[in-house]
Amino acid sequence: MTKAIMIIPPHADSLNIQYLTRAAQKISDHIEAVAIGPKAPSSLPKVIDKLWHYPIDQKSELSTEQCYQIINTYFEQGHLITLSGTFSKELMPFLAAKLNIMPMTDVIAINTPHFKRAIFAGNIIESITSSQERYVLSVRPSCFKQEYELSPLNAHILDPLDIVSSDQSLSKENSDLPDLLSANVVVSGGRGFASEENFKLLHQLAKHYGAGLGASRAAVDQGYIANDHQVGQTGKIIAPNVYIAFGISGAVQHLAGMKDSGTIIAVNTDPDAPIFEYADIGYCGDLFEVINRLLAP
Amino acid sequence: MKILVTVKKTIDYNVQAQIASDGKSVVEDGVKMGFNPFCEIALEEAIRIAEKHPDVEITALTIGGDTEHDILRKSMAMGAHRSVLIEADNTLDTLHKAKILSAYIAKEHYDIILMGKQSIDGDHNHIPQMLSALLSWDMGLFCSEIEIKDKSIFIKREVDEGIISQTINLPCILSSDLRLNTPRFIPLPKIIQAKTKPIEKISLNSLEVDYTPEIERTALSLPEKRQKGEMVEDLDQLIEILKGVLK
Repeated sequence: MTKAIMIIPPHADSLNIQYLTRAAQKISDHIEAVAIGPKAPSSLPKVIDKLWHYPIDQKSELSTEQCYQIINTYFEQGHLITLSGTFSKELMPFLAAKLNIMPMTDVIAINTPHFKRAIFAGNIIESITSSQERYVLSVRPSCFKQEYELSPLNAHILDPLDIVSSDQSLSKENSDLPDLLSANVVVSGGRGFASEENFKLLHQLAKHYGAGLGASRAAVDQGYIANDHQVGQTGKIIAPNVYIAFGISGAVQHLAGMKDSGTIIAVNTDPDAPIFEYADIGYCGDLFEVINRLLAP
Repeated sequence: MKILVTVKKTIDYNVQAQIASDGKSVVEDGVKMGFNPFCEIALEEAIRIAEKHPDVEITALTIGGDTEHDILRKSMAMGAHRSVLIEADNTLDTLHKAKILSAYIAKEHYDIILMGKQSIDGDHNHIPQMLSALLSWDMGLFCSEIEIKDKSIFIKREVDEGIISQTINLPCILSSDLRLNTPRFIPLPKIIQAKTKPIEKISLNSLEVDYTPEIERTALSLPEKRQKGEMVEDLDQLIEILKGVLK
């Protein structure tokens, strides 16, 4: 049986790695993992046979071309599978074109050789069948939720290749909040905040309760908050246990990013807001009143 | 400098796509169609570059048949100098399209390929990356800022972790994100003028692309709908619920 090579993205957390493992199990019984980055995970689900690590220096960022060279040099065989996200969006189609394989990305269900993907911003599900010998795919972790018993695994270090690191520099907001992709509870805000100043209240709320901070595209476009908080089809696709949407109307592309959450709670002044069709609990009223009550000592 | 902008016609982003009776395609007859929004942003950016640098020539290109003439004319009405139609089925898979584009680009002399990061129908987000791999050109994906320097380009890109700033060399492939710009409105006289502009047609055979698709779409279906929950009328009750889950 062809083995599955799990590519662990540089910023993936343990829970998402477990969900990726679930997806990898659906394509092979033999799973190996490769981490490209400053650190390799110290423990992984027991079902993973082997862990490879290509160490890079904390400060440098590898380009897609370099990641491709590493994968192509050390993993000439096996299905290649990773998590959805900008890392895989850059790498997988590039890698696939180099290998002359049509990639399957943002996959939401696997029953080999059949796969499903969401298209039209999640309004339609596309079923596809592959006759490929080797798969190149990325999966949405929220669709493969399973937790595993972890066990320590020593990484086999891969020899460095003669490649130069690129000159990209990443500017990132210093965050005092949990990672949006793995937060248990996410509070998220939309146009209803009406200003960047007001949006800071939501940041306070997230900080106060240790929740992840999300935003609709409208809020990001208005400049209330940085793009890395955007939840939706073109932002991050998340599925926390609880998603609390303040002042978000629920445009289709936003719903695509959060509709697999455990419980959805929505607060909006408009009783006809589409988000209420998806919310387990809805409240029609002023979001500021609600947030101020939650922040009150 | 020559810029190639790829454009795709898709169902208007405000229209909810419906599955056709064959169970494998979506209804397009009588449905409002338009620019894939990311392609429109890419074209707008090329036009803004040309406005600052008068030596820039913009070519708009799409893959499809006669039904695609309108999107190319619209591109020229907006500001593209010329347009190219590669005559092929526009539902080919993304690797096939990337190979077609790569074969075409290899024959021409372009400095920048500006593309939307994805189309809002297939939601693949593949072709710019594939073209970079096939042509061995640098790529800058998900751009929210593009500034042309002498022989290089400064870009800002939107990634999951924040914004990446980098400089890349020509020739290159750039893909646009939503915040790159807001496309202009096209005045009617320009649309009328563009009706008589020529469209260069290229047959698929002339590009000699060797490709056998290995992925087949078997069906389209609707996602499971979430059950609508309940509305809470009382603020105190809501606060109690929220405090319960936020702890």
